[in-house]
Amino acid sequence: MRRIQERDEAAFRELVERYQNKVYSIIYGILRNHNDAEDIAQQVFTKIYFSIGSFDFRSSLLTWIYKITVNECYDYLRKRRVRKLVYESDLGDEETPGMERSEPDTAPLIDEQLERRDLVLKLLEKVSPEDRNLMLLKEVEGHSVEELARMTGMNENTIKVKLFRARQKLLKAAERLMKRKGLPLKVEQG
Amino acid sequence: MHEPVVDGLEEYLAGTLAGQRLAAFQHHVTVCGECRRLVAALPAQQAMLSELRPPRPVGPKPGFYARVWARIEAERASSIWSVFLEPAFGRRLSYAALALLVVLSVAVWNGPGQPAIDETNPMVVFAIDLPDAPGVDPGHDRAVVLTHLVSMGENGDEAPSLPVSSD
Ligand SMILES: [Zn+2]
Repeated sequence: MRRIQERDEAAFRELVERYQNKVYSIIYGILRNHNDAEDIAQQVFTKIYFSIGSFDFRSSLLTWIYKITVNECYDYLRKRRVRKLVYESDLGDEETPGMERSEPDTAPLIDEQLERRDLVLKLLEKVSPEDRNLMLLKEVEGHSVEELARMTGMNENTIKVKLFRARQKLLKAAERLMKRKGLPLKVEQG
Repeated sequence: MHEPVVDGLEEYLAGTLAGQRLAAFQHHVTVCGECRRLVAALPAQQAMLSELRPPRPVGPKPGFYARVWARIEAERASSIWSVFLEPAFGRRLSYAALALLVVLSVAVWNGPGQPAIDETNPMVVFAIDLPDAPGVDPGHDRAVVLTHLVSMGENGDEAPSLPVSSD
């Protein structure tokens, strides 16, 4: 029994060491804070440990881990927003009030960049977790349609349809948000 | 309905859409306002999403695994009561409760002096012979999945084939 336990721990350790940088960098990309990235990465692997028995092998392990990681980030943002709502009466955005900024702890980001990051996090919150993950895997991680098909176990046409719809939904969410804020839709690039 | 754009959009964005498919794409965009609007907005959408890329390679400080393991141990220790909520344990607990209920009902039904358990009663047999519930024991499943995943090596970015449990 003890040997089995030791073997499982060794396998788990290998899994952690294989994916720790990936998980950390996904979280850091979203929150831009090393303390948050460390804490949420630990939480992600704890979750993986307790729920790996339910991994169904239909998608790749990376896709499953990616999903857990992004969900944890959004859970964290939601909780932080609730905390902020409790302590502050001043609500920012009506529909997604006060998606608080991660305080960057590296080079100070300029306000415009922070605005853009807030905006994209808010927009991604308006689409389903599946659409969100697909868009992130495509645009942030840079995977091709072919790779996404292999990773998710879906065919390429299904991926194309899902990406098209996810892009449409994101655009509509952006249009609604900009309209409410009275801003032009065009977002500066670069 | 938006077929040429659905089919060619990602390649169009990557600059690799060509020939007939590019022509069909461009034609559709000129006749479909919805797709025209989407295509026009995509460079901005891509630029926005790229904000979530980490500026440089990052990773946790050394000793990350030990910190994860400490957290797992802490969570295990602090949630001793949650064992009652684990599916496998919960199921066994329900079976045990059901078994007790059946045994008591049979005893009451038969009255004093009668055999307390009728082993030909399918409900009693079912209740006594607690099923092993394979596949719902988190510890067992964790071991099977972990062993399989690690034996697969570095190929974590592809959907793997289903594992075959050795027991
Ligand atoms: Zn169209």
